[in-house]
Amino acid sequence: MAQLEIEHLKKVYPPNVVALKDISFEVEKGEFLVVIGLSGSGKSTLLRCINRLIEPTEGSIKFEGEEVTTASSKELKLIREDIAMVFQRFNLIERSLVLTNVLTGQLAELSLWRSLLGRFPRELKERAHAKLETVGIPEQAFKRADELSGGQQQRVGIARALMQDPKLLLADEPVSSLDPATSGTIMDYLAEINDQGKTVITSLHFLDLVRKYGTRAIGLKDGKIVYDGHPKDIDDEKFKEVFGEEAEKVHIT
Amino acid sequence: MSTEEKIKERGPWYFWRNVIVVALFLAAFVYALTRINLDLTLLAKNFPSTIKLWSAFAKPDWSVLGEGVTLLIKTLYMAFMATALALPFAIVLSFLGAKNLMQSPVAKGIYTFVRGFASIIRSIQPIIWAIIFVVWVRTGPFPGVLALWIHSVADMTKLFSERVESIDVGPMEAIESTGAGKVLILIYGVVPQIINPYLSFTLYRLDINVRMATIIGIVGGGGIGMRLYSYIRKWNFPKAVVMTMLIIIMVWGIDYLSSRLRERIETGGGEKTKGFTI
Ligand SMILES: Nc1ncnc2c1ncn2[C@@H]1O[C@H](COP(=O)(O)OP(=O)(O)OP(=O)(O)O)[C@@H](O)[C@H]1O
Ligand SMILES: [Mg+2]
Repeated sequence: MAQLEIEHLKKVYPPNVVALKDISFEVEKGEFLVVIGLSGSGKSTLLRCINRLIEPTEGSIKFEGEEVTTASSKELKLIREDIAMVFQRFNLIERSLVLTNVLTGQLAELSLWRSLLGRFPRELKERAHAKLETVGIPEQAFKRADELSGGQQQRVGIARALMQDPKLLLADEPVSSLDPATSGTIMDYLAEINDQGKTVITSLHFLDLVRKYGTRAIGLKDGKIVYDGHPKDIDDEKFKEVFGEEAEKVHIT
Repeated sequence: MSTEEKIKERGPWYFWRNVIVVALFLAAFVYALTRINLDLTLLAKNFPSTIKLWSAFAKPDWSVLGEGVTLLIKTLYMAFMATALALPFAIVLSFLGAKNLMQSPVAKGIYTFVRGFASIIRSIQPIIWAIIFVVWVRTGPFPGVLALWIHSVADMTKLFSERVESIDVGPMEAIESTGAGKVLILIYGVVPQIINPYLSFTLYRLDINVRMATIIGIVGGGGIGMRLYSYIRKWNFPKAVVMTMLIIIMVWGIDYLSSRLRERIETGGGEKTKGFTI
């Protein structure tokens, strides 16, 4: 049994925007899967259906054997604890401290009154510091999140995801708002996480990053899978299939 | 049809529409003039009697200063009580009245009800509420506080809700994705984004309530305004003047304090750290 099994997934945004149609694929534990495709091809929709930030319209998504699409809100919370997400716009609580942001990755494990009062146990705080250390910014813990640079904010986003100790990491264009050098650093962290046995599913726009980090690539076009294979096998023809004749390669590489 | 053509097309109609609007306005103005007694000679004829009022400013009757200060403090209490009691209600209602948080069919119904109710209550001036409550529970500070309270709840609910509606959903989404429930999403995703505006609006409302607390005194809502009005009715201008001065000082002081505090909340007193950090 694969870790993630998606069958006949379909998403229609009301009233009638078909973002995904008949998507089926499986992801094995430990894969580094990259989703590529033009803007509007459905990458974000696909990633967000997996943890149901977006409600799928039809089809089935099984994570470690459990059906996600029909899970009750309680079951869904438990599933989500094992699936972390990193966002293109970081989605940090800008007015809160970096440390608080990292700690929010672990809210689900906290008793309600502790969360209400913001009283995190010492052990959790130490873990949060350790995660910041992992992403190389231990000294930023007590700054406000919005004082950090984009690259630093994305590291906080990764630290927050790590705090969850997830089995699967979803990263929706994690480097799209960063410069190339910073992008490399962020991708290296994702690769490191992947090396520790965590599955990574990410959407990327740069083909060289796809080739460098991905163990597998899925190409989306108009909500359909048009490519599924090794990133290194994406030749010019395949490329045109995914991105269309008019898309010039320079924009992507 | 191009935009230019459209403009040309509707040109004459727009011109005549404007002419009609202006003509109607002028007609209404002239009609109103004939209905209202705009007798400017009254201003001159009755001038001597106001001299008595103005000259009172030169010789205030300071014997009522102690009484005035006590009433002033009472008035402040009224405004403070009304604002403090309105705050918890407004906080709860503001979430129920925020469109972006109220998505399900039932929630949408609640949203419509809350916002509709708030705007009806808001559209009735505090002084009218004061009259309603004075009739209900008799004169004194209590109906005054009630009047300010109900208007504050509605006003703050509207302002707060609009603020909630403009929040960034990113952090909420991020927290939701960790498997946290609704309460936690609210506390960690929403509250940090709204706490400073809420504080700022509350101070602003306190400022308004202090002014209003003096006005509603006139219809029996208690406080210094009520005493001021009774001195004026007795033509005791030297005493009325003392009350007026005290009111001016209080309103000016609260206005100053509130705007300084709000400035601090919004800028945190420095460039880098804006507002309070959670
Ligand atoms: N909330 C929404 N409501 C309606 N339509 C939406 C919504 N979100 C996305 N869509 C539509 O669904 C399709 C897929 O969008 P999606 O955001 O998944 O694309 P994407 O591949 O992530 O694009 P990008 O590279 O620009 O992020 C698009 O046609 C988009 O317009
Ligand atoms: Mg996207």
